[in-house]
Amino acid sequence: MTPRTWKIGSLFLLLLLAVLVPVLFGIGGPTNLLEQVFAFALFAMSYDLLIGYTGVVSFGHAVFFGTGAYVAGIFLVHSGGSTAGLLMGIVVALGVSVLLSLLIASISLRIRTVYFAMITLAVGQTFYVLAGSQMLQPLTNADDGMTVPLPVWLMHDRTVYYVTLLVLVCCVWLLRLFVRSPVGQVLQGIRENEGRVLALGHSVYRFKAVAFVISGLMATIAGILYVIAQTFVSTGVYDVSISLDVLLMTIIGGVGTLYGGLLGALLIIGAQTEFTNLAGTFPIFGRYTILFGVLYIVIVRFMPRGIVGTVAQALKRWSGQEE
Amino acid sequence: METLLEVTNLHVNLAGYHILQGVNLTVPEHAVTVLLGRNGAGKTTTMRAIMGYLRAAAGEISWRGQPLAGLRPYQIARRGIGYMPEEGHLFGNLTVQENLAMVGTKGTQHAARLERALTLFPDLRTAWARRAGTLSGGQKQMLGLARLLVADPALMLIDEPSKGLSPGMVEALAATLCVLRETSTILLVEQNFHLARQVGDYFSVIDEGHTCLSGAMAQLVERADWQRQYLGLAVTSGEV
Repeated sequence: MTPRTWKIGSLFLLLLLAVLVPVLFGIGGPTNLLEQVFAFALFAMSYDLLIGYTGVVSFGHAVFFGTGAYVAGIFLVHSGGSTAGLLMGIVVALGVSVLLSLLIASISLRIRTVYFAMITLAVGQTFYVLAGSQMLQPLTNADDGMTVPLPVWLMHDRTVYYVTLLVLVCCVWLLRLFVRSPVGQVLQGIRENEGRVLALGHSVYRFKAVAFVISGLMATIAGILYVIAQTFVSTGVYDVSISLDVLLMTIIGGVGTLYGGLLGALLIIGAQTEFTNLAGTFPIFGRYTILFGVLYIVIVRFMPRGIVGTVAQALKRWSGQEE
Repeated sequence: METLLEVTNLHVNLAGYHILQGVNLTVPEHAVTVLLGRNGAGKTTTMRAIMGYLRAAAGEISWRGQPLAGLRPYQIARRGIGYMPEEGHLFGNLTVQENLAMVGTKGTQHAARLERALTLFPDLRTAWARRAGTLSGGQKQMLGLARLLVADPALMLIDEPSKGLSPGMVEALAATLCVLRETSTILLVEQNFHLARQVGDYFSVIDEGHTCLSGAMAQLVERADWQRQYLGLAVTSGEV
């Protein structure tokens, strides 16, 4: 069996399992958890496109996630949860995301990586403050956040589950097409050595900007999925801790593997939920972020390719495809 | 014969050192010009300055009569100058196929050029799905040259392609460069005089950062004293 067969087989099994979850485990706890996982998996994969495929590190990627969640939420709230409101919210969120990513790219992508990361962090924090400000209270309900009504056809948990799953599958397929396209290959070249890409006649800045826009769009869709799944949005979606969680998901799953984000999101969100439940009986589990820190160090030290990357490499060695 | 590239009195400073102190170079179309000189003479610096990686402190580099000053490397590449440095400029984590696709994948001309490159370097077909980082030194040079062929620039800058290759591989490389010279214009940096004399039409010698000699390769082949004086060859001409 080749690594490709393994990969296709595992993805097919995962998909089948995901489709069967509502049938096997019922609606409620497991599906609610997985809806969150789907949203964060897409968010983590969008981040992987930046850090793993282009070598660009952003500490404020939550700005796109939060914008998706807030814009869709605002339109849903102000349209009374109509389908038209949802559609308008999606279109406007995607439009805002493109403009925002182009703006950030134009002011920060030409500078050194570390400053780029700092600028994204600053932009993310600006949005965090804006979303919670009293000035925008009529629109965002400030620090109290908004309970978001959904269209009638989206009121059933089962529908929300399958919609989020379907959107995730479509986005994964699009991301896969993108990273395998000639543009995706140039991005991987940029990650390896920008100077070499320049010698081939490619504008590194333009390619990075394209990656940033696509990554931002995917994170925005993830934010929209999140608000649909949670029916609530607050300033927490812009918090820097969200960006750091997603960084952790990407690194644990496997940087530059695309699918690593899926596994990372499942592990981190699953663990967060489980530890929070356990904390009721054993208070020590309330400090689970310390465990995440240890896990992060262990992965970076012993499995720098993350779980998916390490397994893929082992399979390649086993099948003799890698020297 | 039209002059493609002209370098006039080029000066380049690097890390506080005055590395190039007056390089003059003319690269005519449809010929192979070989840039010769001892280690550290400034050959690679000249190539990097032409590609825009290094800024000229003085002097001019012109392409088809137009100055290249102020252009970024990708803009210079788009004008038709392809560059293959010593290390090949490959992407080690990408496969052979992906490395070749980096210069574009569309059009029938591209397909024809790819086919020509793979005919010249059949080893690359068998290594098609292998990561470039796992190729041997010779295969890496082949891949670097193949990518230049697929990109099909008007001028190929090739920096020491024979470095680190076995004598057998150098012979194969010489044969390949002889095929390329029929259709391409090449500026070649080469320390191996045996290879240089086989493929070169013209030469230019850089010594301590400035051009000290240039002309037709046939002249240099004739002059054992020049070879001794400028290239440090301690044997009679015709031998390595």
